[in-house]
Amino acid sequence: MTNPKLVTALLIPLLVISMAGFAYSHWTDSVKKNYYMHVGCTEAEIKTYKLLSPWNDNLIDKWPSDDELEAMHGTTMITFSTYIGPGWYVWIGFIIQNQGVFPTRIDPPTYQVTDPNNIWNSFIHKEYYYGQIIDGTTYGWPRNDVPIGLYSDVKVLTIKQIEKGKSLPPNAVDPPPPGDIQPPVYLEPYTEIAGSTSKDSMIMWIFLQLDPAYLSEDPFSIEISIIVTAELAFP
Amino acid sequence: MSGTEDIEIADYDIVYYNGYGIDITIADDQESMTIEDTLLFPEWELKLAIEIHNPAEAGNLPLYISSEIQHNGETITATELQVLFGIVYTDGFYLDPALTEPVPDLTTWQLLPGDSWYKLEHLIFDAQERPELQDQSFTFQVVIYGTFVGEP
Repeated sequence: MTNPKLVTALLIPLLVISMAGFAYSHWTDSVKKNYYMHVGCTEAEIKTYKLLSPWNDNLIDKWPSDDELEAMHGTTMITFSTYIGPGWYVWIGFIIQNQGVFPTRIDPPTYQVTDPNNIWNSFIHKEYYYGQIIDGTTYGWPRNDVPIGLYSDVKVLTIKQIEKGKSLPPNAVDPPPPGDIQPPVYLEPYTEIAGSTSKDSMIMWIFLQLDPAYLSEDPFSIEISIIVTAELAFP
Repeated sequence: MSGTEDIEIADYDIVYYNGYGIDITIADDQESMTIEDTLLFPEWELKLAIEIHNPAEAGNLPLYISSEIQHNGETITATELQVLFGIVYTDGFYLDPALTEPVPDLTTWQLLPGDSWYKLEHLIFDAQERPELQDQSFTFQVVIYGTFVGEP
């Protein structure tokens, strides 16, 4: 049987607690500041790229393709796969554009390799940068004004052309083009005023070679990804 | 004693800002305001002062003023705010709009009806080593209380 005194004893503290809560809410007013924040990010991306190898470039599978890259409006990573042997090399050229509102610096790229046998340790890679250094005293270009001598005119002979004794056309430039600078490369934020854009673009060339002394009897397949590294920059 | 606790956000002033654009609005009822910036970057900085007013209306009470930071309805410390979102947050209450006279002691001073105090908040986005915050959105709130607890 329920003890009325016990029930009363339990109810009193409950009533006191609820009254205290009511009293507190009654004797307090508040105002609120709501902060809504979104953190910006770098939007420097590869707008176009090409691989130049003396061996048949058609044997190099690359991603994204030119059409895919155009549809993507840029990417920060490209991947290619091919068969290689000792001494194989490729020149990879990039036009990188800052498409964001923040000034950006481009640092040396990073590499990812399908590497079951530590093959990457036998690779030679060297990067060449063209554009504007961080202090803004050198040159940089709007995307459409990138010098053709630093990108479009850069070519290498194929093995077949070499075997036939051919030479590069007169306007062609051997990689790497002259005038490279030390990273990081500074890219102005993308702006377009009266059809003129800012110095938001740069060029990078990468020389990638498997050490000629690497011991391998047969060509083997490899997949390599190159990732552009960008950071916000405020000169 | 019967009376009313009533504080409102009367005004704001951007003391310092180095960002690309900020939207600040005070609600019509002056009970809340929103501060929105969608392009934070490392070293982004905002110093924002707001006027907290206790209206001079009959029955309004003198009030003790306090504040806290909230996220998702939970009270968090300034340290937790920095850990979560890279925001270094400091604040202070002032007696004058020039922000030269700090409220000496929030536990003993009261905001009287008809008076205003000024709350300065200083926010720095310290995220140079926090790339994971890029392209992230977040919200937090600062709640300012006016409490009547009797005569001082």
